[in-house]
Amino acid sequence: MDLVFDHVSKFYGAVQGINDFHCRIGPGVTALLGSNGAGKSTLLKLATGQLRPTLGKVRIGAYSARSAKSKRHIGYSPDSSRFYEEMTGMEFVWAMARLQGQSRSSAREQAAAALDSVGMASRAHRAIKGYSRGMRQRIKIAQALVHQPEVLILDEPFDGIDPAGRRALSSLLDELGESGRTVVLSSHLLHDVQAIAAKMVVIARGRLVASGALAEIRDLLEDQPRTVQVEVDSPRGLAADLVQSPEVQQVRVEEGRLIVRTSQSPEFFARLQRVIAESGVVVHRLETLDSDAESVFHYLHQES
Amino acid sequence: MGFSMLVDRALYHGWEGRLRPRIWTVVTLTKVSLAQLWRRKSFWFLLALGLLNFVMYFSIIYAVTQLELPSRAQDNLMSRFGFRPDAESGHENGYVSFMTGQGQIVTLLLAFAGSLLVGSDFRLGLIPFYRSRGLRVRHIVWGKLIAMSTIVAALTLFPAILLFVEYGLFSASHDYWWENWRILVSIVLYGTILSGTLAVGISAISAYLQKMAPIAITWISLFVVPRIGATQMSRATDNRMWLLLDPWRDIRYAGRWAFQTYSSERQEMQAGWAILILSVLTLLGLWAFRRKVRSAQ
Amino acid sequence: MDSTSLLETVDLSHSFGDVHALRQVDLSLVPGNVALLGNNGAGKSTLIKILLSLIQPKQGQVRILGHDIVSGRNPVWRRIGYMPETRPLVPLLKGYEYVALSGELYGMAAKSARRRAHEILNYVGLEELRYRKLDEYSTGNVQRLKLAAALVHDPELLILDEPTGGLDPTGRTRMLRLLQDLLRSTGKSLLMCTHLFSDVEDLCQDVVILHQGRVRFYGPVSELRNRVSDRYQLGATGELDAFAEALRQTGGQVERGKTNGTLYFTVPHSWRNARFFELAESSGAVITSLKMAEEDLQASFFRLTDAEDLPAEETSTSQRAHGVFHAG
Repeated sequence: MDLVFDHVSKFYGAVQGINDFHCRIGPGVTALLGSNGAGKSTLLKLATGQLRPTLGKVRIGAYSARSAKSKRHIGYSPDSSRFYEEMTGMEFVWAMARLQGQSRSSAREQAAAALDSVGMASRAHRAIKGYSRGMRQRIKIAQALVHQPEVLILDEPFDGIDPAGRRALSSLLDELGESGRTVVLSSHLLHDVQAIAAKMVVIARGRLVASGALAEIRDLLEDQPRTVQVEVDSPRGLAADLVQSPEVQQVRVEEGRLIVRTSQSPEFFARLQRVIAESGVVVHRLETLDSDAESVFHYLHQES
Repeated sequence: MGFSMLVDRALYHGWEGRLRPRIWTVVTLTKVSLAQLWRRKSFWFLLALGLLNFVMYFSIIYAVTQLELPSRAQDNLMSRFGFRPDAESGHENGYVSFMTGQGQIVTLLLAFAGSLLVGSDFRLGLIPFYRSRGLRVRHIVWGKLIAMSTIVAALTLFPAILLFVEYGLFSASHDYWWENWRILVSIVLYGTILSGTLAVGISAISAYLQKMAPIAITWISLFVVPRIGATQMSRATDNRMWLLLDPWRDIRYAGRWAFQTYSSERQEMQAGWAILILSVLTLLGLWAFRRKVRSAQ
Repeated sequence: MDSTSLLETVDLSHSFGDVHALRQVDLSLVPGNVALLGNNGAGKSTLIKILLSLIQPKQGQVRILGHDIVSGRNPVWRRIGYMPETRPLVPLLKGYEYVALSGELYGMAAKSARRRAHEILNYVGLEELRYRKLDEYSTGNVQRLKLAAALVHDPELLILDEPTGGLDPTGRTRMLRLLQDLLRSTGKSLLMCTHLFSDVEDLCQDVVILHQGRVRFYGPVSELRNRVSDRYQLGATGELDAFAEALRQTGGQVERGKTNGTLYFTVPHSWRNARFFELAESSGAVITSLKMAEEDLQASFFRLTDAEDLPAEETSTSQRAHGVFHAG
């Protein structure tokens, strides 16, 4: 089931929260990236139907996000934490399942399954009041999963969770994505997100700035030449071979390595490969320093 | 702004200086607590309300000492407010009745201050913050208690002293102060008892309940419910000792004890009991408050 | 006063009732930037509380900056600045008042605390907000404010709990840069409690990994990136299948990676790296990245903490690092 933003704008009086956001998010894990205040929360609230778009439409599959029918298909884990503190984790998730319309016994089964999938099975019988941040986070995700929705919307799900928890959550989300669900993940932890999100949607100042796979987005940033690092024993020799090439903007020689700036990376890599293959020079390491999610994020924000 | 100044701002500067002994943190904590109260408009309103009584007493004393009133009116005013030696005991009750009369407004103000100064500190995780700056439990306890006591004193002790000074200033001879220095001692004593017991009470309650509504309800009930129970019990068993269950009555009796204004031997005995009960309650409250501060995470 | 030692613990143990929070923790750290990593329940917060003298450990010795902090009074608590993970903000106070308060609580006189507060707020970049009330501060500003409150008395050791918590990528970069600059230019030491491996790698030279109350490792971060010397990770475009096949033909092992264009190759004997490029050239593929499949910090962390409740003798890496450390 797809989450569709159809030329959506949201105004708060004269202030434009979201500006002509047009995007279709399909099955798999998609990361929603943006700075604080860029409009991520607004976007997520539009997706869950908590806010009504001023212009355009938001759809969950065939249903409008504002309709009651769509709620059955969305699971939402919000950024903030508000619980009934006296309830136990199990009671809370069960209550959420019941609110979704499940019968008492079915809700209990589903709640237990959801809690198990987030690693809270053994601890769900304690009152939420005594829960740590990580545990609360897991409860939030459990209640989002309990009715097995096709679309999952998670706002900062990794916040405050320890490494083991993040690993478990990442693999859970990965599985859900692989099984065909549409998982929309908003997170500042770009490193974690990069590992599981096939597609990224970047928002800045209420506008859609980029969408697609990380590599594709990087390719689109033509103005930002890539910084490629080549670790070789004798960098000068290689530098001499490369410096005259049209693809190479700049070459910097340092001890044990070469740093090249190029704005035509496919051509550059092809040439580099030829040079190495012909000269037989020993290359220990070859990597692009600024094509990871974090670098891409920064470049996108520099530009806008 | 000069370039060098801009650069300078961007650099880290060290700091060399002496650090004071930890006891000073009590002062800091008191200051910051009171400052928080200071900045709320509602506090000013309640304070003004609280001082209305003071203004009235002030005016009475002025009227009685400075104005030419017909003697019967003068006598009436003075005895109404206690500024005339009691026929039986021979002592003046004016100060006591003022300080005790502040009861309602003080209770109200403390309910407000309790959640603001103590409750919110617990809720917002400020106790661990203070502890992480090296404060010990006792520093925090004392800092808060002194702040609370100051609030009570502001409405009872300090105005009462001012009234005392005023009376002396306006009365026929300045010997008033020398002749009645015992009254000043009593004022300070009673003021301390009031501030101490009420401060400990509200602090302990606020530490455990932490939110304004539960604190206000519990605190105010403390002065209402036991009174009802006490009156009923004393009527049912015809034993006036039950009345000591009423905290505000105990406080009133404590005032008698501080000023030594008894009109009967029984009153003296009851006052002694009242002091005992208040001491026990205060110590209990202190222990509870301390315990809560220590366990705050 | 031993200025070459940052933190030493000997047989440090503590428990809350039945729960063993720390078990026989032995550490010896020199001044520098140290990360404290561990899952929940590892004992990180207990250790921090002991360092801040909020808890008296049941057993063991602890020395900070050369001074014993468990027997008797703690003489160095003022040389430590602590930045908590939570938001302990005093309501209605303005920015500079909060920092000045922190200074006063550390023992500064009111006037110098105020002056210093302005200075440190300039440094962290909050000078425009210092007259605003704390309620108006965003998460990014609150983090910097807390840092200012921890720096106000110019401590030698900073203990930070999740300094990048809740920050967006821009804010995180800014905080890390601020910390890097601070630590480099002043020679202060850092003990940072964190869940994020990228923060550790960006900021710290050394790391302490705790698990279930025991030290699983302490030493340089670089040591946790073992080189697995015969396995390589390649990124390539073009005729990947042909390239993979060509590699397979050399006798080595080829695995496809999860993302498009990623290959893992375990090299056969007497391999030359140039052969990668030769084979790619002849297969019609273009190599875009090449590196040894090193174990990274994250993988090492899980390797060290996944085994359930290892007995104490298993902390052999820590002993090895112990030796390395004393030499440094």
